[in-house]
Order: sequence, then C-alpha cells, then structure tokens
Amino acid sequence: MRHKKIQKWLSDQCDGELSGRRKRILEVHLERCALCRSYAENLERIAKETSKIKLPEVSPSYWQDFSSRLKARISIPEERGRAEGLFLRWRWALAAAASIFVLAFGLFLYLAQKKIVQETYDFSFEDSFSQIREEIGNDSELEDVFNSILFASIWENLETDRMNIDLDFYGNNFFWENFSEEISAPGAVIEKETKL
Amino acid sequence: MEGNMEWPGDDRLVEKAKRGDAEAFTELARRFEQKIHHAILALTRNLQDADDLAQETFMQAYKSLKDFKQQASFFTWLYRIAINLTLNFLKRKKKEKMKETLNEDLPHELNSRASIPSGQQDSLQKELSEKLKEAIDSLPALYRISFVLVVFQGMSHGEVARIFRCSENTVSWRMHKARKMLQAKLKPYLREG
Repeated sequence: MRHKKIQKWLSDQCDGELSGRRKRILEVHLERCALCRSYAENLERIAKETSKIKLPEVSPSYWQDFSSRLKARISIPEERGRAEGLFLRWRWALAAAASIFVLAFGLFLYLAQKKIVQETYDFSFEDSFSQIREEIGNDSELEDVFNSILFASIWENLETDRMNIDLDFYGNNFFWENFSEEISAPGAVIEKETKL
Repeated sequence: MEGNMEWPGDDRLVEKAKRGDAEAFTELARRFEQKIHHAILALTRNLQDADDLAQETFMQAYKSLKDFKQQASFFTWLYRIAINLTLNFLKRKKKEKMKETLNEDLPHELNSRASIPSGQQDSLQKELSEKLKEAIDSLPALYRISFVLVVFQGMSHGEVARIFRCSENTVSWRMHKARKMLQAKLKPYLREG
C-alpha cells in the first residue's frame, strides 16, 4: 500500500505537482526501498525518451495558410447566413402567395360546381315524395295532414282543368302502376271515399 | 482593423466575436492555433488529421460562440472542443484499425525482448523510442489525452482538470496509471537501461 502511494507521488513529481513535505517523505522512502527506486528510474527513463519524441515540424508559412483558410471558412457561413435570411423571407412570401392562390382556386371551383348543380337540377317527383315521407316518418298526424292536402290538391286539379276524366280512373291499373308506391296510401283513401 | 493596432485581451475579443466581429475571432484563433494544433498533432501523429481537426475546432468554436458563457477561459473552452473532436476521431480511427487488423489477421503486439539483437544498443534505443510511441498511442483515450496534455503540452493537472471538468486528483491518478501502463508495456526495454 505504501509503495502504491509512493509510486503515485513519483508520477506527481514528474509533473511538478508534488508538495515540499511529500517530496521529503519520498526522498527518505526511496533511499530505503529498492523497488520504488527501480520504479523511479524507469519513470525517469520514460520521461527522457518521451522528451525525445519529435512531432512533425510545421513551417511558418503553414500558419499563414492555416489562418487564411480559417478566415475564408468563417466568412462563408456569414454570406450563407445572409443568403439564407433572404431566402427565408422570400420563402414566407412565396408560401403566402401560394396559399392565397390555392384558396382562390378552391373558391372558384366551389362556385363553379354550385352553378353547374343549379343549372342541371332536374325535378324528380319521386325524390321529393321520398323526402316528404322521410320527414313524416311515423308521425300519423302529419301523415293525415299530408294525405288530406294531397287529396284536396288532386280534386282541385280535376276541377280546374275541367278534364273529362272518367271518375272510374281509380280502377285503372295503368294509372296505379305508374304512380309511386308512396302515394298509394292517399290513393286508397281517395278510392275508399269516392266509393262511399 | 489596422495590423499594428494593439489587440485587447481574450475576454474583450470574445465579446466582440460574439457580436459577430469575424476579425476578433480570427485574432483569437491566431493566438491559440499553434497550441491547439500541437495538442491534436501529439494525439493523432498525423499532420493532415491535425490540420483538419484544428480547423474543425475553430469552426465549431465560431459557430457555438454564442453558447459560450465565459465561465471557463476561452482557452479552456477551445481545448475542450478540440479534445472532444479528437477523441471522437480517435475512436473512429480505432474502429477502422480494428477492422483492418481483423481483415489482415496480423496481431499488433509489442515484440518480446528475445527478438531484439543483443549488443546493439543503438537499435535498442531506436526501438524503445518506437515502442514508446506505440505504447502511448495504445493508452486508453482519457489517459492518453491527459498524458499528452501534461507531458507534451506542459499543462498543469489543474488546467487539464478544467478541460475535462474533473478534479485535479482525477488527473493525477490518470497520469499515474498511464505511466504504470507505459512501464508495463515497455518492461523488456526498460530493464536494459
């Protein structure tokens, strides 16, 4: 344990980091201990050999070149940064213009489509009737009201047109086959009431 | 700025560089480029690698200058960047070397003393020098960097501790262990002396 501590102190001494008091303890220990003395000699040899290691020499012109290359590299990001800043501002403007164009085009398409729908609208009696039936649903009162309105309307038409229609048209199969199923109920009511 | 104009201290230059003064940063780089380059060269032992890493160190410092809070000195901060970059570089290089070694299937071991011709003191000395370089290069990265900074750069344990953000005692132990490892690797040659 003592030797380990001494060997660490020897390392510190190599780096000039050993305090005066420890130096004295170290000297006394080395006089007595052959093992640590040998270790110290080896350290000294390594230090001596290390000091002989020469790194590749660099010429003064190398440093001039090094500095100018670094300076050039530093100035590039600045210019690039400025260019990027301009591009960023333009990018936002372009994005805004593109958004406005897309919105305007979408609005145009929407309105044009609406116009086409309005122009090509075809009245469908069956569709209208289905809608009314849907709205009536299971409401029997509403159904009665609807039937009475329909009944009155048919009679009104018959009277105003003064058409010479056989009142027996209720028995005409062709009529009922071409009539939708939805109005078969009010039709049945009409038939019932006329027979009465 | 004029060439003969006296430059202010590092801190003033750092402040100027932080405000975007490229000239101020160039002056800072000029002050430390040789030390940084030397430290990296001692670790890589290759001029081209050292050049690339030193340039990269200053570029990275310039880019992240705004994040430098000046709690440590600019010099310490710069060394930290250089050491990190070099450490990553050495790790990459080590991996590549390992792959190459595996491919070639050639063991890279230190020769035994038996292979050294006896009585040839000069050649032994030369070989010791070569083996010492190899032994330093084979040290674990943190020990190697500590060793290089203290022995080749002449830094104190305290300075190295600030770079690594560790205690002086940690640096002291790393140095001791690095020396022990070197002794163990060079044992056959050291006995001769």
